[in-house]
Amino acid sequence: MRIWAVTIGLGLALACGAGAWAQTSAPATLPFTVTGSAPQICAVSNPVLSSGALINFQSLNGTSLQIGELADPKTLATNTAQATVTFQAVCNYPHQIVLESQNNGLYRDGAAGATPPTGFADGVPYTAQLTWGDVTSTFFVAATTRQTTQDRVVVPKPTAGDIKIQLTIQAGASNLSANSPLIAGVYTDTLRVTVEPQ
Amino acid sequence: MTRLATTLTTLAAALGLAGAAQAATDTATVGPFQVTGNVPALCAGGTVSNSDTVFALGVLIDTATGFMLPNLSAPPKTVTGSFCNTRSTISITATPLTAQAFEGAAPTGFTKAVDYTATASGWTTTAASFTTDAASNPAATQNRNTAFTGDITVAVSGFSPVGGAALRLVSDPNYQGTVTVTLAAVS
Amino acid sequence: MQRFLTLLAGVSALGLAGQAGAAVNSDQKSVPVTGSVASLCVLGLPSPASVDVGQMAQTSGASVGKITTISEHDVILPASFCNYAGTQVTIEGSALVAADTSAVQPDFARAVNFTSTVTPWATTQASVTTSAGADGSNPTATASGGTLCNPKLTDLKLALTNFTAPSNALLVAGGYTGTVTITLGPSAGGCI
Repeated sequence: MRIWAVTIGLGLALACGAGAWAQTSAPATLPFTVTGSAPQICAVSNPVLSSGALINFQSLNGTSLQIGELADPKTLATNTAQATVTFQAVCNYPHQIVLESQNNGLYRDGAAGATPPTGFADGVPYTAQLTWGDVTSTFFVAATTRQTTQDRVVVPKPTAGDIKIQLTIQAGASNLSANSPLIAGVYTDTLRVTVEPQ
Repeated sequence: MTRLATTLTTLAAALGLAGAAQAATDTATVGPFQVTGNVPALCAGGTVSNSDTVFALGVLIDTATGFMLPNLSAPPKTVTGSFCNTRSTISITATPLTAQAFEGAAPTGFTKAVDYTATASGWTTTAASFTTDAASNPAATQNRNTAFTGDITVAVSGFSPVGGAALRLVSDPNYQGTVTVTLAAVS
Repeated sequence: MQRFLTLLAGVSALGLAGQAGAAVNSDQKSVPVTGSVASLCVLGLPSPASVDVGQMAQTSGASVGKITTISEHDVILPASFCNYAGTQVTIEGSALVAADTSAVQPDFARAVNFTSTVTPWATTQASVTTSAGADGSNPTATASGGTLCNPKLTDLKLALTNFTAPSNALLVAGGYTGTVTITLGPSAGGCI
């Protein structure tokens, strides 16, 4: 009786045990997240005068672009002039670039509102050809009326690199008629370049 | 009379033999009776303090230039109470930190993702390690030859813009990547 | 006496004397007939013949990996008996110990202790609880119940209960085996 009990017990126990030991459970996972943010930024550096193709422009003095000789000394008609100015810039989001002319052309300081004598011109138009990433635009600063004018260009994607502005003054350009003589004075305009949200 | 003597002799002999066998069975024993059970191979993940499972890097860029900051970091996290009741492997994987709202490819000069390295240490002699821009990550899975319960430290480091350090990050308020640590029993 | 002896040794002689013609009418003598029954204990075949308590660890929840609640498992030893007074039940229990013999890691255990109780016999029941260490050391414990001063025939029940892990530690994976040995026999204390 004693021997039977032990033998049967051993046999059954082994059979049950072998089947049960094959169990495993699913792997345990521990999830984590890494987060950060990149805020919207635009940055524009001071302008640099591009080398090459510089016509009748002397220098970039700080941010002031100096024309060599605005008028022909004999005819007082406007001389041609061209220069390209670059600004290193970046905007990391879709934005717009705005060119703003303070005077809407080259006008004499301190003579706002005064009418020149008949036959004389007192304003010089020019064009600012803009290239910024994939976007180009021509801003014609007409010098028709002395006022602040703007050219707003939508830039649909983040852009980094150089804002390139090619300034061109045509020979004989004036706010009267072609080749009109220019009244004496120091002619200036301020061109502001702004990158900002749309 | 002869028959009576024979019967008595036989009876005496029979009684003598029976007496000798009975003296050995005043005790009965059963056993060893088998009792068995089993414990399945099992791993369980522990908990992170304050349930804080986010490595928050904050602002990723230099706001003056738009380039990724060079010193991005977040404190490591400790998981307590994990265990495996048999040999196990620990594995770690990670996905690049990616701008969630930006659609399409990043424009020229920009990137929309950041690579980094994630590690899980404390479980094995060599930490499990995964780098998101590596061609392969052989150290991502490490083996442990014994059952174990203990702390696991998870850390992220080595951030770099996908495509190179010359690229700026596109603006996005939500750059996000995931890190997953897995414990698996080896049966 | 001499005549008595002569009767036993010489039954055949009497027969011869009878044939020779002795002069008695009848006679009578007594022959004592005796027998004895020895002290005996028998334990019935266990039913079931072994016990598998199945999966012993919790697989989820706050105590995952620790011992789960294992219900009582009973084994019957039918028609067990002792035909004499002064007996006791002795149980030797050996804890469930894991087949994995590798060194036990901190906070783990490779043993499961349990209590074995055999009833009904004496007033004071026989019960033993194993107390193996987490490393499976000292797995065996022995105890006896009280003395029963009557013969008894009954179905004995072995109840396996109170399954615990040392320090309620995490249990190593694998199969576990323990044993129970029951002895029914004379009590050291005896009866008055």
